[in-house]
Amino acid sequence: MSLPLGFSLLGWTGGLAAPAMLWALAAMAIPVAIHLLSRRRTTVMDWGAMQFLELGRRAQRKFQWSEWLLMAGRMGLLGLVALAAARPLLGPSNPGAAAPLSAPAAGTGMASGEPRDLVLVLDGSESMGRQVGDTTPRQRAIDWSRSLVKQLPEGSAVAVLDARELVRPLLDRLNYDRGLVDEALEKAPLPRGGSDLAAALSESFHILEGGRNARRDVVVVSDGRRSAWRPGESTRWALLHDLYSSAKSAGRPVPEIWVAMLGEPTDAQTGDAGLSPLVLDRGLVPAGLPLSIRTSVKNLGNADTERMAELFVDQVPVPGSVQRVGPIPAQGQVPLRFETVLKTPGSHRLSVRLRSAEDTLAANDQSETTVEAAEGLPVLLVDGMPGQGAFQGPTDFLRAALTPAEDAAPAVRAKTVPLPRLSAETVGDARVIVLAAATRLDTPQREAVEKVLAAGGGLLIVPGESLDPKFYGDEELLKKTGWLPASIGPSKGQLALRRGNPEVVAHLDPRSFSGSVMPAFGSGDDPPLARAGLFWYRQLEPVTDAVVLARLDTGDPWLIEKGLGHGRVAMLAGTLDARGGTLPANPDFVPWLHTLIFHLAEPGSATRVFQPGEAIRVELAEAAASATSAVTVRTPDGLATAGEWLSRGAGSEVRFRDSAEPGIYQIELPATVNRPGPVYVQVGSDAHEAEPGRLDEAESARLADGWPMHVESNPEALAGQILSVPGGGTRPIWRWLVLLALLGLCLEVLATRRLALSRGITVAGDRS
Amino acid sequence: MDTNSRPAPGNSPFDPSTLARYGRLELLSRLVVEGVMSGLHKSPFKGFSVEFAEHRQYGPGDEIRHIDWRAYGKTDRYFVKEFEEETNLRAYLVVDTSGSMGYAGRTASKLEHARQLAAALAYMMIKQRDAVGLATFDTEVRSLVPPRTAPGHFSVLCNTLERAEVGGETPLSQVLHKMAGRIQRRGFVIILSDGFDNLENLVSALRHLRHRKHEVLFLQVLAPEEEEFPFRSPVQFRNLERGDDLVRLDPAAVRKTYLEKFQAHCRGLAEQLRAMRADYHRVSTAVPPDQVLLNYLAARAGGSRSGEARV
Repeated sequence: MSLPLGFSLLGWTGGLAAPAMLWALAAMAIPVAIHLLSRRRTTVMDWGAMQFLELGRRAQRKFQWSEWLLMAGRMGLLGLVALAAARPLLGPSNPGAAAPLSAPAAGTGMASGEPRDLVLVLDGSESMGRQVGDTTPRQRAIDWSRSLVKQLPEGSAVAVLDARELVRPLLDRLNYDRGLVDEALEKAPLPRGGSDLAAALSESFHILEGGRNARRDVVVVSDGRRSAWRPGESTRWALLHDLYSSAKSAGRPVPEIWVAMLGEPTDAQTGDAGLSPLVLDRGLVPAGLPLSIRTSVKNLGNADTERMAELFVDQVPVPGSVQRVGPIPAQGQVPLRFETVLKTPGSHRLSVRLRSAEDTLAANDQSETTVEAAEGLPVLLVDGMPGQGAFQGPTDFLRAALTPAEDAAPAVRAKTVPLPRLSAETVGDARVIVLAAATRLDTPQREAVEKVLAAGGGLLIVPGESLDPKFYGDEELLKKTGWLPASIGPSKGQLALRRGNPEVVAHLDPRSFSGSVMPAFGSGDDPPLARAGLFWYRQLEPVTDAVVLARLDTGDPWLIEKGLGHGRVAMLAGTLDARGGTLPANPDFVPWLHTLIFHLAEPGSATRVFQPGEAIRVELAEAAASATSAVTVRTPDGLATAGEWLSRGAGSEVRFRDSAEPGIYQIELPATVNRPGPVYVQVGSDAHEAEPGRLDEAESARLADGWPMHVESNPEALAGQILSVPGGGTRPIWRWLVLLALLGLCLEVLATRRLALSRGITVAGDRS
Repeated sequence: MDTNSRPAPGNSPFDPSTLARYGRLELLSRLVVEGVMSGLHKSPFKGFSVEFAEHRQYGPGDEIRHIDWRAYGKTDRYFVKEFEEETNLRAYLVVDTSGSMGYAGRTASKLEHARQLAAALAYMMIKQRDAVGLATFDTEVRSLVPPRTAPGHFSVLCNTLERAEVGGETPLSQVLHKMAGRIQRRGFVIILSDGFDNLENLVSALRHLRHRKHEVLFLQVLAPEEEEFPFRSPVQFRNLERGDDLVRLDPAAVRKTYLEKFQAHCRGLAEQLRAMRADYHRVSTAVPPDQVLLNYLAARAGGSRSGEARV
């Protein structure tokens, strides 16, 4: 190991462990400054009895010499302290010959030799929990680490990190107490989720900056999963290299990096099924209506496997949901789909579990997500051109589809108002507004709509034949307010008249369906929506940040969506009544409309997945018990901790900071709150962990290139290497310097006293 | 002058140090001397010529043997006879005006003190009709006023004293040698100086004076700071006799040496003067001139020729 600010002379090498502390040498100027200041205070006195000062002059010269010597001594004393703070290192140039360190056999007790600062990084990803025989890689890593720590020379300090998606310190400081290290390793939590070893290395470097020993090591124990090492994230690794290089060039001691790759048995013929994350069409679903849950089962093992999958809602198995999955070929993947109905509104926890006793990795046999079910979603239908009779108006079919008259507890509470009555008052608590054939909006109406969007609501614009092109085509409206997803162009076709024979000018094209709403209605050989024909539509030109969710077979966009803050705006090219096409008669019209309306109503943050470590903030409609109170938050580990519950206007907000663990967090509101169940929040599991495979040799070599990283698949051999590398043979000598400084301080006190006595302090005392 | 009405020394309504500021040396010395005389029971200086001059009323301090009993018989009041005194005492006041005499610490300067003391002595001696002369010097003998007894002579002396200013470096011994050569008639030489000179040379000069049969009184005028060297913080000492001579010293470092050397010098001077039967008194500028005079006269009346006792 090279030393910063090092030198080599007469068979000895030396350097400084903390050269930045050399700035403290400036303190040597303090005695000089005091001397100069006291000189400045000298007064001039006219004196007659000069002849008696002649001897004094000589005595003074002697005293001056003594003073200068004393001042030099004091400067030297401060210099010594500063030098000790810079932690100098010294040792023979050929340490191998001078102080050989033999590799101790495992379990032979503490090694003699140079003490070191060592950071142990345990890969905490879920794959470390894979059952291999009667143990797991995690257990092997802990056992091996404990054995290594036992063998470290006396004076060594150890810190322990658990590398997860967010690095968790098990011992966040370098600790000299082996008992504490042993205890931390023993109490290491079970592996779960993903791992970020690059972040753990960065944290290790940071911890080692506070080290005192000259020799420094980082020891990573991993199963070599690519998902933990992330070799593809070259920018992060480059940053880490930069951090290492800058520490080295700044003169700080840099560590050796040792990687123990705990191998997996490759000959055992086992299947390993793992679930991918659950995918929902949307995070807000109507209570009582079917909900589709999609995922896939991967076989990460090397033999075919078969599993039984089951769906759980709020930890309760859904009757009849058990499915047989497989057989899945080795490294193969099988899609999995569940349908269920959430009967109660509120937050729900959906889990899919694989049932098998022979799976080697239990951690990936479950996948979970959260969903919110709503009942009676308030929707405002704005009728721009009310019809003369039944189902003649542009919103009549919408209303019938969303809120059937015979349904006592509809999923959507739709209310229709004519355009002139659209106002902040009529909007009320509506979460979605549908503007059907609305010619134009005046300013207060526009503001009322924008308020709904700002609150995370949705807007669906359905064109009519009499739109005001000045309003919808207004550049200012398009650019400044920015909530229109498209500019409206000329129309195509003819609206069906009462006794006419309309001509279909376009059909929906299922191949163009995209986004989270449409694909569910475009699957299969003959999706019903593909049969829907349009008699009339307007040509839309999407704005730059809008997304076309569906097109017509003419190629023109049919449904365009645009996100706006927390809210969403969608625009259709055709109408949703019988005059504009056959859509209202389509079998998928009602489910599609519900899906679209719930999608638009879903606020951006309602079902968002939080990142590990990110502060969780959940807005609730329920009022808080007081301005600031506490709620119980149950972590994925099952621990009950406290979260803040703050009052926010009519509603409230729950805040919780300690979200390092990926999984589902359960916020339990007091019983006084009228809410059917707890609130579930998802903290993202590492998508990388789903990536199978271990680092190959080329990737390992690439990671180890450019810095002293040693990768070894045999942990026992690695332990020998770690303990046998002499590491430059230099030893810290700061303790000796501090002792020397203390000795110097005693001498300084003696010298000062002697000088004071020789100056006749006692004579002065006699006089008084 | 009615000496009975004079207050005791030290209680004078005219503080001599206050008057000194006005340079009225004549008045000052009168006050000092009258104050001193009123405290004595016996006149210290005895005239020996007995040519009758006049009667005057008896007062404290007058000797009983001088009461004219015949006059008492006639008038029933006490009168003493006053005589025209003849004197053969010729006193020379030698006031050192060298640079070192200019030192003034927390008191008046040494020269000022010497000046007041010289004027008081002159007044006292002229009053008893002794002839008093004055020599001031720095590098040279600055002025030499020949001794006279006339009452008006006192003013001349005072004027000369008032004009005296501190000058440069003085080899006191040289000046005294010159004085010894100049003064023809045997006299009484009173030296007011700090005596900061080479001790050997100084003693040699004093011996020269004694050899010429002069009575010698050496009043060594010293400032308290010179005797105690009380300085603590570092000081740059500038030679009063040679302005370019500067020395930066830590007083604490040199105090011991200084005091040893200073005491040795003073002790040596006193011993040498005692050995040559000359009179020596150390005078501190911290002690008022009247007190100095009183102490000196008391010591003289007691027969002490010389001593290191401070007066």
